[in-house]
Amino acid sequence: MTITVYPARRIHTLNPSQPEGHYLAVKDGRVLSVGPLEAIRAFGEIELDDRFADKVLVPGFVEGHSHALEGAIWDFVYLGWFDKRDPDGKHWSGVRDAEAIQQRLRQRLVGHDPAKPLIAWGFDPIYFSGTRLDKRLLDAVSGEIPIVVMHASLHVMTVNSVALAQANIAAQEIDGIVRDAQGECIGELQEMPAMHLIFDRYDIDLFEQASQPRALRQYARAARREGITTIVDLLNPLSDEAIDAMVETTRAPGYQVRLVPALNALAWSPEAGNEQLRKAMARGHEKLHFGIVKIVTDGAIQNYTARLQWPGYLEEERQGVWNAPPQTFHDLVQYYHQAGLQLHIHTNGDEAVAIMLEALEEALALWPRPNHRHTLQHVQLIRQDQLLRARELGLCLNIFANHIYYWGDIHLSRTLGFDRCQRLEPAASAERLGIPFGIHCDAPVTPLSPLFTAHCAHARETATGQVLGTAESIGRRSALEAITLGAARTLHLDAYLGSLEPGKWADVAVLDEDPLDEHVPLKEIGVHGTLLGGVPTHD
Amino acid sequence: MTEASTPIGVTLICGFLGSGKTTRINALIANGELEDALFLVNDFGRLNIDASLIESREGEVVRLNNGCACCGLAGDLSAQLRRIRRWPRPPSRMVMEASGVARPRPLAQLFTAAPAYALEQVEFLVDASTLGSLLNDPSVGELVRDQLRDVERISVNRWHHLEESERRHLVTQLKALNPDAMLQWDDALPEPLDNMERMVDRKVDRGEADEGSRAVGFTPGVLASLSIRLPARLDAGRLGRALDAARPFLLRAKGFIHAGETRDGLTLVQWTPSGCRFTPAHGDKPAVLVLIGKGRDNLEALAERLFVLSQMATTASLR
Repeated sequence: MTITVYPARRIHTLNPSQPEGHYLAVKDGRVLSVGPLEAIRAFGEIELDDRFADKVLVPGFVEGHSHALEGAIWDFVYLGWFDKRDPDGKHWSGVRDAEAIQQRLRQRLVGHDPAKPLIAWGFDPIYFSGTRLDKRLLDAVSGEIPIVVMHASLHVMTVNSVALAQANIAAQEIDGIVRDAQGECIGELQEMPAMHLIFDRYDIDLFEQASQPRALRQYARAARREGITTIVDLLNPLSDEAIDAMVETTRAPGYQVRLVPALNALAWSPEAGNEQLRKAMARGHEKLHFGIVKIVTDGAIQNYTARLQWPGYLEEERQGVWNAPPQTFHDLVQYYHQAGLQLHIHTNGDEAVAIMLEALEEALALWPRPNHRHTLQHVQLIRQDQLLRARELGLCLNIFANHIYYWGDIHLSRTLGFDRCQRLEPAASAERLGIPFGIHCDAPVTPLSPLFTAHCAHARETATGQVLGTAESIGRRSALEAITLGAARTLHLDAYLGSLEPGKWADVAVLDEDPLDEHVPLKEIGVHGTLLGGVPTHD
Repeated sequence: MTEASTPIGVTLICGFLGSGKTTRINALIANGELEDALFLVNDFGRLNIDASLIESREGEVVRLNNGCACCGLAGDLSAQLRRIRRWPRPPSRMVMEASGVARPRPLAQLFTAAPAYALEQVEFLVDASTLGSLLNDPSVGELVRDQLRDVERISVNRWHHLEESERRHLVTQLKALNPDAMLQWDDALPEPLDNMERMVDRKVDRGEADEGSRAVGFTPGVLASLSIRLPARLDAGRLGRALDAARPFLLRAKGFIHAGETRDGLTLVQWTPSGCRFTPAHGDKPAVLVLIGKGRDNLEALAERLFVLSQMATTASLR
């Protein structure tokens, strides 16, 4: 096989023994060398490909917490507060007032099949304090076509009068149907019992499409554009159909990322889940890696559903929610740990972290297992004592750094207050303690862009430019490691990817600027493209 | 849109984890009182259905030989309900085991309002032997209180072993939370073994009072191991229940017993907090059970209890 050599302005390998280079030599899809040209020639004939000669090469980015729903949800109208790019690369500006919401909906009504509802997503009411999205606002858009606006939490929707009438909402007695003082429905429907009437009437399933080949391909396109070469789908149904779709879709040569789906443990009995995952694992290949089990314990801080320890939420007397009894999480941890599988556990609040540390400690005391790589996900508020315990247990962390930008202002003023915003997403503490960690975006919750995520962990700036907790800021090199090797460690794939080290897959992000150059903000660095297994990718 | 001519009649079975929901569902199935019913098991697809009742499996739906079906469909409830009512032949009734963290009130409202379904009955189960510790557990106490406030009727299980004063206390607790609820004293669950579970509960309660925080065991901090020899025959089911009752401190039990029901008797026992497995074994291994748990005193008390169970003289050796 030929040796292809890509000269570059600079290569950051993330391999501590050989941190930099100027030539990337690839053979059989793997990194052969990052040494000087003469040293590479010692391996044999080379073919020089200088298309990246003025670019900076770093390991392909690894997004360790996001969802394939990102590849499907853009079929609906985007109504989020922040600007976003869809998988086709189109830029969508954020909508920040009623007028903008109406205007965007009106644009999408052109040519819309009147028999079908117009569905929108991403609306985040926490940014609209004082004004409430209600049916009148949507009625002004259409009096004939039903309109359904899903809120960002996915726990609430707002619909127009047509939808209210067609689904016969007014006649029902459900707490989640919000009414005014006169008893009239205002269009807001909270939680599943109320929303079910709409889902049922129009046969809407927001998640079903996410397992389809088209969504998987769109997801890969969106990832590639941001320099990602390995991406997870961190809550996959892993049904037979979903497994088939992933195996077939990822095997195609045009599929240009490696996909790591995680089994949704709460959808299966442990025995059946284990069996299903083993079945899937037998079908993995170089671009599809099964083996991770996801447990979702609590909710989200901005929805007041994360489980917080004392003193709870700043503005509201709320407890947060569990997705299942804590004993069930405990039992799932014991089972899957014993079964030899790797756990990724969603823990947003510090009470959720506490409960899961107990469960993991028990599992590890009873069935010691070195190098298990069980990972706590989000850990936005993990405390110092919990960090130390996580290290003692050999856990990895994946920290939700993007929250600092997207909800940092809200956390400061409404959900958490000053002190807990100092420790929010404590990447520097994880680094100081030597805990393997990644940082993530949780797309479609926040946009896919590892460089932006790295920027958040480094700069700790909120959307309005406030800086939260500089003591937890990490340096550029650490931030770069967190979106490459660190995330690869949490996926237990660091033997194959995450750094440009001889023997590993030649997965590369090609950048316009050097991410370690202090003069260029991380979030402004352009991604030129990627290499997967040493081969340049194309959209 | 296809509206079923007759709505699917729904029985909701609610209650916290371990309150006896699955036992209740198994009883309903075994009694065969519900023809053409679908049993929707929503607590993570757990299908603890008696194997002798199973006729066939079709994907995620299990057909039972008395004409019922049991369904552990993955996915959210809303999607499940939409799918089920569009089946070529929808069931005429449905029994749903709610998740342990589900609030009964919104679920009841859902089935009252959802097209093609009609709510017939809501059962809310409470295990008298664990309610105290649940209410005192800071991580779930508030949720359990909310659940209790939601319902019109409460079925209390596992109450026979309570003394009169303890029963009065339980009634006071429930009435304080929900003065209008009707209390029904149920016999659906087997009673805990003699005093074992009570002892466990009391010790847990005391632990909470001392620490003012979540109970983690009787004797804090000390992981102990105890192996016991059990030469007499032992009933596997009773052993499993005794070990389950020791859950607050027992972490693992493993070993062999001579169980009454298998042919040559030897049975491998593997108990963890998530379940107990009995596997028939062969050979002439001694019937030794290793207990691992928090606090040596607790393990000794459990060992004593197991000896009583196997009705024999004892030799316990500390490891």
